[in-house]
Amino acid sequence: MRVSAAVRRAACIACCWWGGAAAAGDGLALEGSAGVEARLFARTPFYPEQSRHAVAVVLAPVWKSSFGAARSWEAVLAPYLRMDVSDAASRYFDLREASAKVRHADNLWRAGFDSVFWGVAESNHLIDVVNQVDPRADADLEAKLGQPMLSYTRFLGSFGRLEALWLPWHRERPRVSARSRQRTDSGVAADAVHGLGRFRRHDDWALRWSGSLADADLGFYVFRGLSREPDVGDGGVETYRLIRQFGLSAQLPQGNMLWKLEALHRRGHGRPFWAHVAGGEYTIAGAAGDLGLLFEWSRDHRDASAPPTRFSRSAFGGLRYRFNESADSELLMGVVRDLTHHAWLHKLEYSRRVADTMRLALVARAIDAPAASPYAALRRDANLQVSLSHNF
Amino acid sequence: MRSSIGMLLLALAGTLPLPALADGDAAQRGLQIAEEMTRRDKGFKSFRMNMEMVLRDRQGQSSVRQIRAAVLEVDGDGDKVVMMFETPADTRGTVFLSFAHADKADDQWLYLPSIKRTKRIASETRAGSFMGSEFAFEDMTAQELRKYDYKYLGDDKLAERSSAKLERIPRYEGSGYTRQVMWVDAERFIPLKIEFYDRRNELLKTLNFSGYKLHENKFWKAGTMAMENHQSGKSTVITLSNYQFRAGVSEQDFDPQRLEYAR
Repeated sequence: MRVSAAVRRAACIACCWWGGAAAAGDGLALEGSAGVEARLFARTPFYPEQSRHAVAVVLAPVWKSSFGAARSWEAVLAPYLRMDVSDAASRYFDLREASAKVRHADNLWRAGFDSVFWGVAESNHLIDVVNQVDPRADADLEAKLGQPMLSYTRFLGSFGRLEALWLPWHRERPRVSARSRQRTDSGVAADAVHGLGRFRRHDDWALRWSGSLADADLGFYVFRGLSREPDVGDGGVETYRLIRQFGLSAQLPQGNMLWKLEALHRRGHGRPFWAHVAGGEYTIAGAAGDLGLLFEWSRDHRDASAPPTRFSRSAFGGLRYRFNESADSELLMGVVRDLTHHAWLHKLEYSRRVADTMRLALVARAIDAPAASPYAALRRDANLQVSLSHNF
Repeated sequence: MRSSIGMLLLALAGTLPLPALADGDAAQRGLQIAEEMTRRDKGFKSFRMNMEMVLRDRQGQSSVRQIRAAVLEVDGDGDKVVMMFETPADTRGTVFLSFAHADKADDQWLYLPSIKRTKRIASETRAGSFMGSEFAFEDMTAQELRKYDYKYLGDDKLAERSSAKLERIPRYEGSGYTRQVMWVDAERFIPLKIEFYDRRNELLKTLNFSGYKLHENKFWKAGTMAMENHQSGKSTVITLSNYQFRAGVSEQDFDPQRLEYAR
């Protein structure tokens, strides 16, 4: 559990090396975003120490440098800085990416902090296992921490690609601060960690194949390492168990319908179990915009000794509308029905470009659940999130 | 052989007043013109280019999208196209890959850099807008010969150039058009103008091609494609520049497994 000084040193060396590599490159580009995010709540919080509203400034610059043609190098540095205005414990930074990639013909080497996404479903990122999620950055658990890795990818032409990853440090799931309204536990959460958070030296491995077979896009992987999902013990102590997991993803287009499936088999969290999410996305393209109809069904057979999930038996339905216009407006309405805990999770999202480089996003969330459910602390937390970001 | 007859007919058409053609003849001649267009555009292998799309709404507000693209010719099927978005900034790094097919729905993928995710797109409905513009997907993908039934409508002059008027009716599922009327340059066999008629057979859009330049001594490529939507009052102008033929484009650049590393 000890913060590894070695990894700090390694990160520091990586950064220095990166700086040198970037300076030597023939192109250094700065991209990224800077924004303000406010979450406004209609009702007072569940716990007395929680603050009512939250306002944060988010900086996410990305420096990129690449050079070489036949053997091409690319270095990326993408720190993430989040400063909550009223809650000092919710101010932190992370390295979303600090990596170097070398590409030569059908080979790709990658070293450093990076993230990968494995999966096809919208409501439940069931099989996405490499990166730890960052609940502080996004209440919907879409934000992820950078994962230290060394990976080798071999592109096999029409046979897809094969990727091997060595993940030498495990990252713990960050806790939201005691003042945050995303808090669900009654115990006082440990102080949020500033800086890069905690690392634990552990050799995690993953091997994944992905490719196309006829019209379908497929992916298979095997992962062996510490789970990204914590077990919460007495007094809120979090531990991570060693798991072995097989994952599968498939998507198949058929006319205007895209069928999706993710499935996993996991050992190490109690009794070995299967879980899956299956569904589809039907697109109706029109003159004024494209309407997408989304539906997904999740089933998770884990027993009570495994970390809890909201997807043990749940259904998701959603509508997505993309307006045909220059501002790229998009509207998303979704609801998850957790049949195990008799809860409804509502979400309404709208975003549009308000100037060439500015994007406005509005997200409304509400949870309708019984008092005796894991959602108890969130029942009063219907909120509206307003964010404005400048992209450069 | 058929195309040389077509050429002859077309050459004659420019000089002689011909009696109205019977339907069968009009269809035959229409197909011959389309075949000649296809034949002349064949053999480019691959190229890269830059696209700038200017979208204008009814109020005159505009926004600009800059895209780098690479095109790979596929024998016996539609072309492969990869597009990399550069502006607006919130779309930078987005990559769109499409394999056009004459006889079935196109294969499409979209890479989203913010979450490093490659999404498959299922859309048989080709009438959908291409990136919010007045161009539909079916206007952007390869114009395969087998996609349409053709009919020769007569000759016309367009901007001082002799041209043949050609009607084409989509044969594929999910088109937003009942028919298109195309003006084809009689000498160079390239489109000069296309009128698009919606499902109610009313004029929906007009596309004007201009700024043609000859590349590799063989291929005429338009510099500007201006689409005007008569029903919505919106328009989109695409400016194409920096054509580079066989500029190190390979099959690898069109691999859905490599979209993250597209360039």
